[in-house]
Amino acid sequence: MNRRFDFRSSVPAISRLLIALGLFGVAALSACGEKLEAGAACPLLCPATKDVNLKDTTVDAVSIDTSVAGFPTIGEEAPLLLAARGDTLDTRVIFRFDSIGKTYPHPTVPADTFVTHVDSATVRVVLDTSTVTGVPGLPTQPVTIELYDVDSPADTVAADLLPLFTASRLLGSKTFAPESLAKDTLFLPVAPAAVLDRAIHGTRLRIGLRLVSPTSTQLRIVSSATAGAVLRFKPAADTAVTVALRSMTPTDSSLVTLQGDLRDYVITAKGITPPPPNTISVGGYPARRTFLRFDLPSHIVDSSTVVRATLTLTQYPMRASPSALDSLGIYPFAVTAGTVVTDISRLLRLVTVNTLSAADSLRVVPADSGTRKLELVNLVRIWRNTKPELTQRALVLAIGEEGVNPAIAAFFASEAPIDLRPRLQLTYVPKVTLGLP
Amino acid sequence: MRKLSTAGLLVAAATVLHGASLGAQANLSGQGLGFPTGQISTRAEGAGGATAELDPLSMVNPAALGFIGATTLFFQIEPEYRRVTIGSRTDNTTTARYPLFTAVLPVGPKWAFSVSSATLLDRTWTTSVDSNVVFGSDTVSSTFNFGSSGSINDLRIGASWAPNTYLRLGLGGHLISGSDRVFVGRTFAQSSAFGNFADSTTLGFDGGAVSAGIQLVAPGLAIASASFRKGGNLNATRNDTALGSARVPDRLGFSLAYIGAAGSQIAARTSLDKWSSLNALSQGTSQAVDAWDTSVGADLAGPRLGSWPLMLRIGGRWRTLPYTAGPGNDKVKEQSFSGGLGMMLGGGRVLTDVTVLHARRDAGIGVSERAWTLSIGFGIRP
Repeated sequence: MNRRFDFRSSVPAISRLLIALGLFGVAALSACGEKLEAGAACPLLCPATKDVNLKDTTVDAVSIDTSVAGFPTIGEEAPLLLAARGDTLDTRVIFRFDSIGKTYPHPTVPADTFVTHVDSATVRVVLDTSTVTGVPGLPTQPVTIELYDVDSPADTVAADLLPLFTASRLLGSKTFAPESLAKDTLFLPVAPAAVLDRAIHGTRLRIGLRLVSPTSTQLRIVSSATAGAVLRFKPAADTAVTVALRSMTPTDSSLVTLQGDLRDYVITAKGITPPPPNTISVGGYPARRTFLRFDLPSHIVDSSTVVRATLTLTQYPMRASPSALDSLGIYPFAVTAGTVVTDISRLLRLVTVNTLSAADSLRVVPADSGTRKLELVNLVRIWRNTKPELTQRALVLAIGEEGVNPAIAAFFASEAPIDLRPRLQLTYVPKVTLGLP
Repeated sequence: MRKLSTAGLLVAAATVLHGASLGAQANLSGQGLGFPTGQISTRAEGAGGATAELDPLSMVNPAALGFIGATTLFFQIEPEYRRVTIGSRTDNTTTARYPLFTAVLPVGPKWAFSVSSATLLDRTWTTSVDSNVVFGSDTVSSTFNFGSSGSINDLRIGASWAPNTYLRLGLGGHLISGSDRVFVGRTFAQSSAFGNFADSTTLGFDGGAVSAGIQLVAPGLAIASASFRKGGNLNATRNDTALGSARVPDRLGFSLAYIGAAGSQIAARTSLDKWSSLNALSQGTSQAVDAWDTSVGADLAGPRLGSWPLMLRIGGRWRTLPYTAGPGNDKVKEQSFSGGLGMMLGGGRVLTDVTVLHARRDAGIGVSERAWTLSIGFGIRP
């Protein structure tokens, strides 16, 4: 039998046809990896079933709820909030120049020259003029920034520092028109004599800033973590010396990080009226965070598929809050620590407020009241895949503009009357048993 | 933790309207344990299935193996484009199938052996239903998905013996196995507030059967064929759990073919499949029914291409599908017409068959189904 390929002239055309058919077949197959129908023939061909059903339950699942103030931690403010919000909030910014040299390098003198005279001195600060949702912008009325000598044996205690903001300790002040603030760099005058005194005696200069305004306003000053304040003075007509922020306290060598943080920080002269004890709260200044731990029914979380988890909170009106009528964003963050960590303050500090990673958000107006809902399904579903010992079934509520927006929102806690307590509504699909048709 | 309230209530009430039986699907052909592809080759499909009893590549009659002539490896691919119509609404779907593979080895002039695998019931489909779900005071759009991916396959080892020119006998041993991943899920439009749901499980099937066939040949005139498959147990399991046991359907088929024209066959065939033996595995409303499968067709030698004729095929087929549809358990009737061609290339080393098949399926319940199937078969003779 002749096994040679024996095509005639018409055969190549057939071959091409076959190749085309083959390609068509391949294309057809690649196009049909999935089969999807819109189900127009349902329910006629798809009788109702009891196999797949959504169930709904509301549980009083909050086992621990508490709020802790103090965020950001002192020294870690970025930016620094200098507020004059009338009856609601008054904050002061502290700058530490703990190392002003006795000498300076003069361009025409080979050796360093002792400071014996100061022509002028200023503190340069940079404002954060960016727009942040829900945060007041730059003042619309002229504001005055006053500088005080707040050097004191006390380190960071507001109660010790606030009495130092007196006329006798005033180092300088300057009034700024609203449009001049938009330039974002401010030069604040400092009494030359004070700088000369520190230079001659080799002592530290600690300056407290106070904002004075006829209206409720606030400024955000870029902190040392980015572009800290700088002291600049002229010991000679043709020479200027700049001094960077530096803190020499605390002196404990194990607290070097804190020492660095305290180059600039914020103290609160007048804080926000705290909410009632049977509430949990977020925001304010220093900001509060709320810790919520849940005791969830395991037959739902572990054995079923939760399709919706709604945390229902009843808002308590905080009419005395700064920006009480502006909306405030509240975000839930997962606690990733295991049950070995029991210190709630520490658990709260372990959370980094990054609104992009938040599971959901809730916008409230601090002065409002009523029921608010926060969706937590993604968080609850993560818990299904982890053991409670490794990942606490807990979350932290915080505002997105923590440390920048002093507004505070409060909700009734689990100590409140039952109808006002936080509760969790779970919608879930029980384990589906798929079987024969 | 204290439970304040529990309700299947609004949520369930809203979804049950569109809930879906995992045993049902939104088409006629894939009810129950699935769609019977027929276990016939592309070339036999081109003749409506009428020549299947004579076709050594089809997994119907083991006695036909002796017609193979030379060692052959054959497989086919078979995408189906389906349209389901209910009233003014239509759904379109595409299903990929690989329904048949066979290897046939002739040994001497009288014996031939084969190993073949063919889909007995194909259960691959997905249905999506859009609906709104009410969660208390909230309504969210949602899509409910349910489906199945898998099949029950039939692996046959066959042998044929031709003691003389007038008689051919065949035997086959069948191993029935299969896996079927069934799944269900619901997706929500608001992904931040709602978590999608999905669940699946895999069903397993195993069983056995034997088959036998006979062909009476009047050389140059006609061939009469008959085949019979006797089913054994068919077990269904889910993971390690036995779900039930049934019998592999018995099948009895006959055909009569005229072979008076050189290289051509004109045939009629009918067979009865005892699908009802699968009812022990039915848990839903759809029931298996015994079904006739009747066809007429021709496989004609056309013009020659090279050393080999171009085969032209045409046929019609009428059958009842194994599973009923709808609330009244109505039988699904299928009527199909097919045409195709086949040729040998590479000096007879490559078999190529192409068949286009159009099927209409109807159960008289207001739902109809149209399907175009492209069947492409490739065979190699090493």
